[in-house]
Amino acid sequence: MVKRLAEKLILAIETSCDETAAAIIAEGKIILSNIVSSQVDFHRKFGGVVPEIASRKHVELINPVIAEACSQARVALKDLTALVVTLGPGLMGALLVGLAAAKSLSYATGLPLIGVNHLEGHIYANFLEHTDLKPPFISLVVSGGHTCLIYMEDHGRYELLGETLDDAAGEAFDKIAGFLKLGYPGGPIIDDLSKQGDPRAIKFPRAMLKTEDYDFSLSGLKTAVLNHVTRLKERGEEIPLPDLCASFQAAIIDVQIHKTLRAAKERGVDKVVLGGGVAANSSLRERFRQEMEKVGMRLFYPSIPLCTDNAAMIACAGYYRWLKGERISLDANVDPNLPLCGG
Amino acid sequence: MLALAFDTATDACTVAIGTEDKLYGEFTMYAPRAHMERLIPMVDYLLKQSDFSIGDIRGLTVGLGPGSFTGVRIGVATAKILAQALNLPLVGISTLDCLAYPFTFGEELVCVVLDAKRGEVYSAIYRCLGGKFDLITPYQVMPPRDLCSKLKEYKQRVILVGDALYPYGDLLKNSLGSSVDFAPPWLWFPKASNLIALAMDKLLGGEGKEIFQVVPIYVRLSEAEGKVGRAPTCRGRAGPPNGRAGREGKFFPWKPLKSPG
Repeated sequence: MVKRLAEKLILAIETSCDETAAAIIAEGKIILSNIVSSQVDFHRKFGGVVPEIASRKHVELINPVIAEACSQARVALKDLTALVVTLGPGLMGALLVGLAAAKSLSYATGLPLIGVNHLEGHIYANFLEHTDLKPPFISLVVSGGHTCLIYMEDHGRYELLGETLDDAAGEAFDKIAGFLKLGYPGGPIIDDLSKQGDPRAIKFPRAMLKTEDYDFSLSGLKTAVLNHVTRLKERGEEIPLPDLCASFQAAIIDVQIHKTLRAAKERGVDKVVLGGGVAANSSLRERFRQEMEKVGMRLFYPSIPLCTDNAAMIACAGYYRWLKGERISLDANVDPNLPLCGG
Repeated sequence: MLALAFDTATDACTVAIGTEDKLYGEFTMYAPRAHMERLIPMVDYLLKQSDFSIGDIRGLTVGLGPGSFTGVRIGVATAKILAQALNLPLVGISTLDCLAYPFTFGEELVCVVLDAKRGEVYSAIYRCLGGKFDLITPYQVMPPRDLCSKLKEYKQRVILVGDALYPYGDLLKNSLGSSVDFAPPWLWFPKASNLIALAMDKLLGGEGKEIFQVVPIYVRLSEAEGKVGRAPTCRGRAGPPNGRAGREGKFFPWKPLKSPG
């Protein structure tokens, strides 16, 4: 093992959904290891994440994932500076395995333990790669479990401006893909199909585009897609999958761009930051890039491996909390609905 | 060998420190759904009060269940990471064995019954003789009425013990009558000292090195695996379907795509 005495080394554990993940970062930004053991194969036959199966897999995978994170980073536990863990939001049983592991590691090593919010982690994935990024900015976090518009004033200071009132973006992708029998997870499949499709082919509703708030709703869009497909089937027509997927995606993205821009203008910021698994969607990235360029705003998004759930982003968020002296105690608990607040 | 033991598979949170010939301390609390908050602070308190530190521990043992899925995972994950971080051997022991242990010095049948919720009990039957016991059934889950039928087949006095006697004690007593005796209620929850007693020979014999292989005993499949096809999944923003630890097994109902709107 190489001694890295001069460096601040953070080990983070993330188990909020179906990825068992551990990572070690140095100085809050250099990724030494970023291990993600995906359980997607175990959940595929159910068409979504089964909480009990996710929790069972976490107990089996957590030890080897932490061991691999240390070994790839060539760091021994005794060389670490602090430990970070996701406290929520997420699946109760899944979060509990991560926190039990993190507390146990903290107790065994005497290292300080820091708790972070999973959504905060998705935002901080950007700080790992864009060293020039500084708050304040508007962040859109879009994933399988979340669609949130957040104003981040400074490190650790957030204001949740709006969120989805029903389905998260990634959830809508999964459900549409499931309905069309395209496979699971739906996001990458629909993204691929869309590349050959025309986003203006079918006019799907842009829910809540004109509302004054910053909330989103996707259930109406989902029903519209479903009705459209049912009508085509009844008429015996072929379903134009690429056009359908591209139009469905465009309906989601249009509203997201519109509300993100309006929030940025209202808050007087010139930076927009994307995060979460759906931020890996190629059309979403491209459309945001074009629209932000038009109005002269800077856009940041993580590279694709850092968009999906990982522990490096949790380590990064924890690093900034560690700098402020924040710690959690050994009687801490998880919160499946942990609010993103503070400031 | 100084060993640390704990079990979180039931509503009790129990921690003990001891060697092959002495129990240094034991701390058991009725703490439903509070294992995450209590476990490490209880370990820490017990170590401090008995003038040990975590670095003095040379072996670990943990209750593997069956019991609350969530509860047992807290104990098992904690034990596995402690073992990895401190490079200690870890021996897993069934929570049912742990509950049967105090009766091994009799000459009776002992049936351990734990509340498995959803109208069922986890159970195992042991034949005790002079300080040893034989497990004569698998660890299993069944409705209490089915257990009554099984126990009647033995035509022998049976001692019943375990937290399922709270909800199903009357039912079992009415069905089995004088052929069963209930253990006193303060033995109905596991005590970690029994884990040390059961694991010590294995720890001294060099077992417990394969810590990655230690997994809970669930007995039940997850509900989704039990009925593949009607897939209950959860990926919504509302967080978990069941909300609280200890109320496992209830999944988000699969929302059909035809939502209103």
